[in-house]
Amino acid sequence: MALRVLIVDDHPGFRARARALLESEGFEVVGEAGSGADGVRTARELAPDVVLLDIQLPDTDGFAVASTVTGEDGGVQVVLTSSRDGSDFGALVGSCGARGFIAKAELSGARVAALLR
Amino acid sequence: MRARRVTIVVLAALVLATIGICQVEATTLTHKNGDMYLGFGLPVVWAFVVAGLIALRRRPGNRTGWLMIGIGFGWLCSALTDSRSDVVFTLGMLLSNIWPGLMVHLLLSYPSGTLDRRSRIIVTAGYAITLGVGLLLVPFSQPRTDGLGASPRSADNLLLVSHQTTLINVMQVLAFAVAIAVLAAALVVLGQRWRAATPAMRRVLAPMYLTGATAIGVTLLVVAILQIAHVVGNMLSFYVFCISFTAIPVGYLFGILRTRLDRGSAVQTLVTTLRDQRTPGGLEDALRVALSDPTLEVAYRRAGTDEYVDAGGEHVDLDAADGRATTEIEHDGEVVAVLVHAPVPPEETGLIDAVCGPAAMAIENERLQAGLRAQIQEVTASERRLRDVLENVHLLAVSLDLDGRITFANQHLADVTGWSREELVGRTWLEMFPTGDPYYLDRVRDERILVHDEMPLRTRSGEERSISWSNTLDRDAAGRVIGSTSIGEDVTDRNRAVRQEEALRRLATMVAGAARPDEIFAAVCEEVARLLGGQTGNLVRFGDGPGTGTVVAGWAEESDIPMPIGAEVAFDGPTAIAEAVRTGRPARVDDYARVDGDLADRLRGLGVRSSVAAPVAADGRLWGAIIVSTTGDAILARDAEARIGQFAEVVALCLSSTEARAQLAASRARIVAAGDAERRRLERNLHDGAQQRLVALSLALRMARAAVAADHPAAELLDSAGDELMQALEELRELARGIHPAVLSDQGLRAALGALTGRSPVPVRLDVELGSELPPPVEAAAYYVVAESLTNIAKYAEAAVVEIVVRSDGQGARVEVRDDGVGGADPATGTGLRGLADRVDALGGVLRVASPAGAGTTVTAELPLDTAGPEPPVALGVGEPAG
Repeated sequence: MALRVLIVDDHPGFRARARALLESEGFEVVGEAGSGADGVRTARELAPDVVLLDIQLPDTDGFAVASTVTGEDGGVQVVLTSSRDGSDFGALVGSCGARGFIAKAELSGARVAALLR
Repeated sequence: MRARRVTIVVLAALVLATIGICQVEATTLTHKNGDMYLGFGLPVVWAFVVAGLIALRRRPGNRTGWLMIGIGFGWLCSALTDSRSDVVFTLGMLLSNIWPGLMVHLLLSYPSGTLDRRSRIIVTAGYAITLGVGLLLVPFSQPRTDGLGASPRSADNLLLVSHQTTLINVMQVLAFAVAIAVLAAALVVLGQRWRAATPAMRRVLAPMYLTGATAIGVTLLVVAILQIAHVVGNMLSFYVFCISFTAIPVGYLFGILRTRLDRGSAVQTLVTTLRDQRTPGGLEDALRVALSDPTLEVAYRRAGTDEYVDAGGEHVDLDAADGRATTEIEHDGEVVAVLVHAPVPPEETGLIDAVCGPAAMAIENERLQAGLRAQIQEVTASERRLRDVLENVHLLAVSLDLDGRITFANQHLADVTGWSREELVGRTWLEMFPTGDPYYLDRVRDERILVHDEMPLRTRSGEERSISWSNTLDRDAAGRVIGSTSIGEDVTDRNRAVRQEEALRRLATMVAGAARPDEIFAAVCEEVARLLGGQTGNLVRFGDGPGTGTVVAGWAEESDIPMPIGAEVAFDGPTAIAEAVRTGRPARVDDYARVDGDLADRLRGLGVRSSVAAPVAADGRLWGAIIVSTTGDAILARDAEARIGQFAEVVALCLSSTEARAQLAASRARIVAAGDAERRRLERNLHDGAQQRLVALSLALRMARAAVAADHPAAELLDSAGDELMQALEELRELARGIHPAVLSDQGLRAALGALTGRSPVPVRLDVELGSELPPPVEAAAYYVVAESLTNIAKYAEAAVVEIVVRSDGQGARVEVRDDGVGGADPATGTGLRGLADRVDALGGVLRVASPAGAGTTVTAELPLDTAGPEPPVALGVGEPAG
């Protein structure tokens, strides 16, 4: 059964390409959100298996959203992504409850799956 | 020999003439009593001739003798008209009138025997009427026929042409008139000479003039009687005439005799007077008495010199004795003195010689004394000159005796101290000036005085002056110390100028060194108060309302400040500060005792006596005032107004400097902040723009690659493009990170530092404790301090471990990056550290680098949270209108 993915990013272009990429690799993209608040709400509604969460969001940052959604009941997993390098964020990536970080340019279904194993 | 021969010849002629005349008179028909004529007439003749011979013997070159002899024989010739022989009679007529002319000549040429121009005219006129008129009338006169004194004729005039009674009468009246004029003129001349004559000259002239005047008077009388009364043959007048004329040679002889007597008596007088005179100048007085010349002066020649001095030792200028006679006096062949006296007739020079002989010893004695006195005079004059110098020099001069009493004080000392010289002299120095050296007299007595010293001196008005003294010991003739004399220069102003310069330099250094304004103002108050002799100094900033202010800085000699900082001041009345505000110039009040107003009351209550205040202008506006005050008896320096102004300028300079620095710091902080904002914007643009597109491209490539079989020719190309793209993205990320750490603005300093240390190749121990939120510029500065330090450590330090400690409280943040590397870093050589220092400095912070070789490097940044830079304290704000 395909993993259900929620993409949270304020760039529609990235969301579309990520959706296409992940679906081509057998993922089911169940929803998209353009802001942190929207992302949290959609995650609650859709209860995806994994949230692909951009760190830089217009209303908050990905670490706060990750803390929120991973801290709630339901077992949603979060994979952080950013066009920046993961080292730019230091220890924040590891302490916010996310399963890991994938640079946007290196995004692939295999990588997401690897982080979730 | 010649003189004797002349005497013999003249005497022989006289004897023969006497005999001849006796013969004439014995046989004459003219006079009834020829014996009487001989009895009275011949003594006149003999008297003149004998006196003339004596005069010739005394002065062979003098004409006086010959004139007297001439008169004698002329007189004799007048008797020839008594002869019964026509030849003798005629000869008598020719020669009988010669003697009156000779007489006038004698009187006017006496005593020198020579005539001046005026006398020569008179004498010529005399000869003209006595001899000339007589000779002219001879051819027309037969005297015994008619006219005056007509008597029976003895003989005939052989030269008679025709007896002309009328002519004779006219000529005689004419001759009479001229004779009167000549005699009157002669008398005037003689009178003038008498008046102008010195006593010595008068003594010479007296006998001759007295007898001569008598003779002339009698002559005039006789002529008048004979002419007017027509008395003929009155022998009484003839006798009187003879006697009075005899008196002339007798008087002359008496004069000679008296001169001889004078010499003896003058010497006697001199000896007597010298015996009684013991005072300087006694000899001069004695010589004046002896020589009857009250104008006589003795000039003594100083031994071994050509200088002449009087008995008192005063210099005598012999060249100035114009119109006076001088007589040198010698002793042992050396000129010892010169007598300066009235011109002396030749007859009297012997008198001077006679007197000076016995006086020579006394003169020599007095000369030595005069020389001594001259030396004393020189010493005295030298002393007087010294005193004059001390008196007039623009320095203080004072002499003290061994009791410390002032024996001399010059006017300048009086001027400076305010005490009059009368008040000073006689009092002790310490009594007048208690600030003097109490051990000075001890040192004078021990002869160990300091040649130069500087002592304070309090003037009568209470002002303290600094005097630089030069001291010398005073000694008596025996060399014993009897006191001291000191010359002092008032160096108060000079010292104060030097101290002012030093004070201003210290303050300028503080201002330039960016010391805190309150520290500078406190220093200004102290410096200016000390300089001007005040006990307190205050700086007042004017308030918004008129006439009010707040004390913002102060200093007091005593510990408690009369006007504490923060005290409110309202200036009313004519106080110094109120005047300074009103006029915009420094003002002073020397005594608040009579100043009205609340502030004056308050100042009096605080013990303030005098004040000087200067306005402080900042940014073209009146900002406040600086005030120096004295308490107790002290008074302000006299030039306090001029000096305080420069300190007001220092305050103004400090204000404007602080303001300028604050503006500069704020400007730099703004530049840094603007730079940071721009970096942030750039980074964001990169992130939102290029990075996003490249990411999208990367995803598209990957999708394309997935759609292509592995053996498809495009597969390798797509893989290669994907790698290149990844490389480009990485480089772009690195670039963006360098432009601005997004995590810093997004996640704060702690996260940013965590990210930094996470990338560091050298292990880092990070310790961050932030007690408060940091402003973005401080966060940025702290981040860059750590980033630059880590970069340097990675490049150069060869460190094993790095320790980073970040702390902050409400005031500021402190960042310390310490490694255990090789050290030896020089902040001046790296642009990175220098740029960091500028960034920290722009925030008002300090960056320090300690990097001893071999002992690691520690970079410390102190960052104030008030990032606007150093602002002046609110109480000192600049640019506000003073109200």
